[in-house]
Amino acid sequence: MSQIGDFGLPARPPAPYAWAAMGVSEAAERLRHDLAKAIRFSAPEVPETETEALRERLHADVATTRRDDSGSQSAAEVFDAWRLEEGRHFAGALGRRVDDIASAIEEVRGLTVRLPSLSRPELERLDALTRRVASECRALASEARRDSRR
Amino acid sequence: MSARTRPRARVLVIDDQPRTAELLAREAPELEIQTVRSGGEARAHARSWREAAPVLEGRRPPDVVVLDLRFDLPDEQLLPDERALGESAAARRLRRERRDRQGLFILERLRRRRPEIAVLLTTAYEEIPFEQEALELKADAFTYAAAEEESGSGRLLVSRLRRILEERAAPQRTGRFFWGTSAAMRELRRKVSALAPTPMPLLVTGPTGTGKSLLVRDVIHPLSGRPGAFVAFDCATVPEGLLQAALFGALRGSFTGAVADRPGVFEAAADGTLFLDEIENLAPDAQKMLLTALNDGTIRRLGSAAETPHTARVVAASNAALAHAASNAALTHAASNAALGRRTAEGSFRSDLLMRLNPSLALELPPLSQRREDLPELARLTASAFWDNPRHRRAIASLVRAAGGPDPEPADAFTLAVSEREARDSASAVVFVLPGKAWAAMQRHPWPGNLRQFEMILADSLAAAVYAGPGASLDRGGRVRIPLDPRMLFDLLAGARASEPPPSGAGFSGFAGFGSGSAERPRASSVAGFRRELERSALRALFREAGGDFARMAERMTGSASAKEARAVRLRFNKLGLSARDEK
Repeated sequence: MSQIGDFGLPARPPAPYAWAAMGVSEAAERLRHDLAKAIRFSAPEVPETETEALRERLHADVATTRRDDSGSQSAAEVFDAWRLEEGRHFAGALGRRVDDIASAIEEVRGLTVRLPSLSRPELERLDALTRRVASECRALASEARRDSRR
Repeated sequence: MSARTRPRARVLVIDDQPRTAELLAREAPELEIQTVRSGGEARAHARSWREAAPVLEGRRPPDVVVLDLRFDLPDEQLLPDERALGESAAARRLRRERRDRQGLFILERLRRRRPEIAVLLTTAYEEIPFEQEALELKADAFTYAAAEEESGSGRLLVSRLRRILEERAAPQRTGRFFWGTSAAMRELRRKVSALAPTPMPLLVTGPTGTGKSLLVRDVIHPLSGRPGAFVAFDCATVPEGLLQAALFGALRGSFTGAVADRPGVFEAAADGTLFLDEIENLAPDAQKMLLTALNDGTIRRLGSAAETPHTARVVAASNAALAHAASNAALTHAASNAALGRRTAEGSFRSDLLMRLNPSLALELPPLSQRREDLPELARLTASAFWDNPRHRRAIASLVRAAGGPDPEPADAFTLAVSEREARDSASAVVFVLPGKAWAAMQRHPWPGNLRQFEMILADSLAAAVYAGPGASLDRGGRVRIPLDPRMLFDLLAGARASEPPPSGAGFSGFAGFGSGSAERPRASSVAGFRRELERSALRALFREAGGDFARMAERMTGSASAKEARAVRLRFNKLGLSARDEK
């Protein structure tokens, strides 16, 4: 079991999704459901002025993005699991969009590990990254849907 | 069915993830998030139908269910049959579909067991591919798509949930108009609140008995804030020759019998609301004059050359079924009213007049059969109205005295119990007892005459119990029981089914089998082929009469217009080699 920072939360290794990748559009919608929705689920309308409140919210949204009885998955782990199962179906422009998400996720991953000790500017950077990931996932879903209609 | 106040609204979260329940607990402490027990553990969310069912079917069911659409669960926890699927390609496809649509499977089952509970179906999908199915299953839908853009989606979910609870807590009647708490009626309520205060002409549609005129008189006119009178005019009852005078007024001598100047209904409704009922029956000349009145804001009395401005706000109603598509190109955006659409296509109703009535904003009243979740409250309010009638109250008081009970108090002293359990649990002094089987029959009844018919039959049953029943009796709890006669109720329901004419424009006019000779008798070279052709012919006839709406076909065939039944009809239709496109 790996540990996330000082929170001592067990990080479950990425569980492979049981279903096979079928449609690109549906796969993109799943990423939207599992990641884009969850990564900013607790975000308030006005950003937190209290640094610790911001840290707490980011912990909930980024470090424990999905949870069940067997443990939790961080946003990076949710993305890894999705990419393992579905990523190979995304090529061309859609593939580049997935790469963009992956690069944002890499930065998220690095910051998540150090979440308990992040400074205010770093927390704000992480918050901005969650916004970017959510936005990129939405764009991916829209483009995949457009492609599937052609 | 007695009115009781609840201190906290109960919410059940059905989601494979705990975050929605946690968010609600944090952001909406006024709500009671219901606890689910599973495997000796208690948690604030049900992860599957199996975990949710005991709460839904228990004695303290939730007021609202917040339901996710996608569930990442093992096969054995997935509806519809909770069984292992295997690892073949087909099994993986099926598994994926079940997970992606699990919320709808749960919703369908929930609707069968608990039609009265509000459901907020949540999804992250931008274009909810299942939106139509969710609506057919009477659920509010919440998509995170817009919410994700800027602010936290979870907070918007909380505000949406609060709005649903407020709408459900709002008074169920405005004047004599019954709202209920179904999703369609809550949507109508929002629409009416937005449109009623505007001066624009409005169109109200819905089958007979759904309360169109009550909606205009008791809701739209008061909300409009207009100081003038509410004037109702039935376009179907005035002879064509007198229509112009009745609508716009007439000068003395303008026709035989016009002995004095006479104002029309437009003038009577000055600064008020003019309600034109059954607008589809308006004669062509009157339609033209009405269009001028709406376009130019002027009217001309019969026999006069002068045009005068009018200040009436027009609200028209069409006694027609709702359809989701109008084939006439001029009506594609209206897509709201089958009868008007047909008459427009035939040329008997002006399309420019229909457009002037803002058909895209039409206020559609659903038939009672599509809002069965409102039946318990409608029954309670009907019984309340009966109870509040002084003549009936005197008769009830003498029954109660004869049974040895105390004089019933006016306020909330009675219950209409729809089962023995409700009768036993009642805290009221007087209990009208409707046997469970009779209530079940009422819930299944198609109600072609809609709310009016429901109220009439229940009021008749109550009157029979009070004036001609076996009398009242005192039970062990000191309550006076007045039983309703189930046989009489069954007779009334059977009579209603047989005698009620189909709603104009909505009904199924001629589908009564093939023995009449009027219908085309199918031919085939074998008995099996004959049966198949018979079924094809029946479905084609039904398809035409239902305006191509599979839900209406299902309702006609099975009494249920659920998405499941509609899908079954559609499947059968296609299996018999029929094509909706070809039949239209």
